[in-house]
Amino acid sequence: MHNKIMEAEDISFSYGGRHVLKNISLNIHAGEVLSILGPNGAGKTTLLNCLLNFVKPVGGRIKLKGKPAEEYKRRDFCRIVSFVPQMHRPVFDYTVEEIVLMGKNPHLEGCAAPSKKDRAEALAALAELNIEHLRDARYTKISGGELRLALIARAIVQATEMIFLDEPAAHLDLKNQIDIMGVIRDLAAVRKMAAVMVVHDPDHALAYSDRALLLKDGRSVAAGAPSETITSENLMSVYGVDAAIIEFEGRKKVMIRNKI
Amino acid sequence: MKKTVLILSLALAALCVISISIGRYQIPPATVIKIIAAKFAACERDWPERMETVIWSIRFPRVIAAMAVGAGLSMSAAVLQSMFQNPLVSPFILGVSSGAGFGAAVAILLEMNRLALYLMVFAGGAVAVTLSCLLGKENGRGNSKITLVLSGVIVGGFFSSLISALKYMADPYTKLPEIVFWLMGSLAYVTGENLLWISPIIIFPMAALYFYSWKFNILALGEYEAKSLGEDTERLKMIGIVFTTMLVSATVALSGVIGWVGLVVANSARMVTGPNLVRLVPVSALAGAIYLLLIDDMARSLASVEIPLGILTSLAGAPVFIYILKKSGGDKQ
Repeated sequence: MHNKIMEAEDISFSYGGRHVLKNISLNIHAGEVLSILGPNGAGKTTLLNCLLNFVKPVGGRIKLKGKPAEEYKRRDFCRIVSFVPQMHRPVFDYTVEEIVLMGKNPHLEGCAAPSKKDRAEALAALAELNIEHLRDARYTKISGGELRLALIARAIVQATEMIFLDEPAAHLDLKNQIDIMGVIRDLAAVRKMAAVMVVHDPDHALAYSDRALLLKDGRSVAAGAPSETITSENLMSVYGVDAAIIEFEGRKKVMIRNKI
Repeated sequence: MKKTVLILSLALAALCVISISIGRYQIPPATVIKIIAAKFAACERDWPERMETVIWSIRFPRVIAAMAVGAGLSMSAAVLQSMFQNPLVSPFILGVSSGAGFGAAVAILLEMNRLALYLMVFAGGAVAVTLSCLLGKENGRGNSKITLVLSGVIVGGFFSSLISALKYMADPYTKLPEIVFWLMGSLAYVTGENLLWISPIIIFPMAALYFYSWKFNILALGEYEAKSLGEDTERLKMIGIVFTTMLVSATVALSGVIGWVGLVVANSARMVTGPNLVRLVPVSALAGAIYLLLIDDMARSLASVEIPLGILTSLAGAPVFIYILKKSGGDKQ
């Protein structure tokens, strides 16, 4: 496949004596969307935290562009890797523009504040996602879909080759889910970014990602093309859910067998 | 933003003149302006010598000190609130002031010189803020908004009892009154010489906090998000804590413990400027200067004897704290 951006080998993590991740290996390539799935508590967020260099794995190695992740300065690491956190409610009501501008942080020297040029870039990113009108809106007052888009605009300003998204579709209505997934696909297709997202809906993994990784109890159950990993058998073994994969207009979809 | 700063600056200048003119010995505001102008330009002296003495040796240093203390406490509070993502935090709430007060009480008791006193004050403040942060550290379980405030209260209480112990040991005729009066906060003993000596350790951390103001915004997003934006969060927090502690200690060395100023001013200023510290820090500084100047004017003109500043600021501050607590929902996210 095309060039590897991140290689993770044998990642293990434990917290308070409990093994949260056990020997996870994965490679992430430029221009691909990778979905991470699994039940609550399977270790998805912990894996993200390890890959994002927020926490140090107990075992294993993570390389970013061929160099061990721990050898990077935080700033340099974040010029390559950006992060769209799960929905949260910030304490202070910054404007959308201020939040987006913070994406410039890893590119600024010393204690400098962003320049006029940086502001223009932030506005361009908002325009690209069609949310220019939100620039002066309070970040605490916008809808969930708009908040996700604002955070993606921030990642665009951060100008990274890789983006991690923690449950990008959570709490969004149907239209917003489709829109946000479209934006993520564009990041990969147009900007050649590697996008790694934690998702709950296996249909999202089937429809929008190039590869999927299924986790259960901190172990990798299956990894590979979504149509090969998201199968009846795997959904049963990972979630304990009886489901069939059906085809609709050439695309695959998960159908749950009802047990009423 | 520019308009806000301009209006506040003009208001501050006017308030300065008024503050210098009022007091037991009244000086007309026009004369105050003339006397100040005479420092810079040749001017006919049609005022008694005594007015000039009162202005330059008493009122002027006191007014400058009030502004410096109000500005310092308020901008520190604005920065700390963003850093801890908590509008309930201030140097006083975190116990910095009590710690610093304890350091000062020790220094007074041991008859230390000025430099040693400042170092004791700074050490006390630094120990207190470190303890509060350690006690109130997020443990991953729920919100630490109230936990941090409680830790500050515990640490503040601890240092207050140490101060009480010192008061018990202090000589009741010479040192005790000094310690007591000073712990309640007062600008009555500020002299020009004292002010000059302490000004670098006020101006330097103020400038540093202003220069870092944009960066501190990043911390307001929380630990992981700040890290994902390339910020070395431990280092930046350390920078913020060191400079705010330095600044607050300097104000304590100048005026004693004056609580509730930063909390009130930083939250009020945020309602005008929004949370961006690039605007909030300078506006808090100006608003804090105005606020404490007003309080000090009241302290020396409301009653026939001087009212300690700390009493007035807490009378005004406690209701504001309750308001913010209710508004921010306390422990709820």
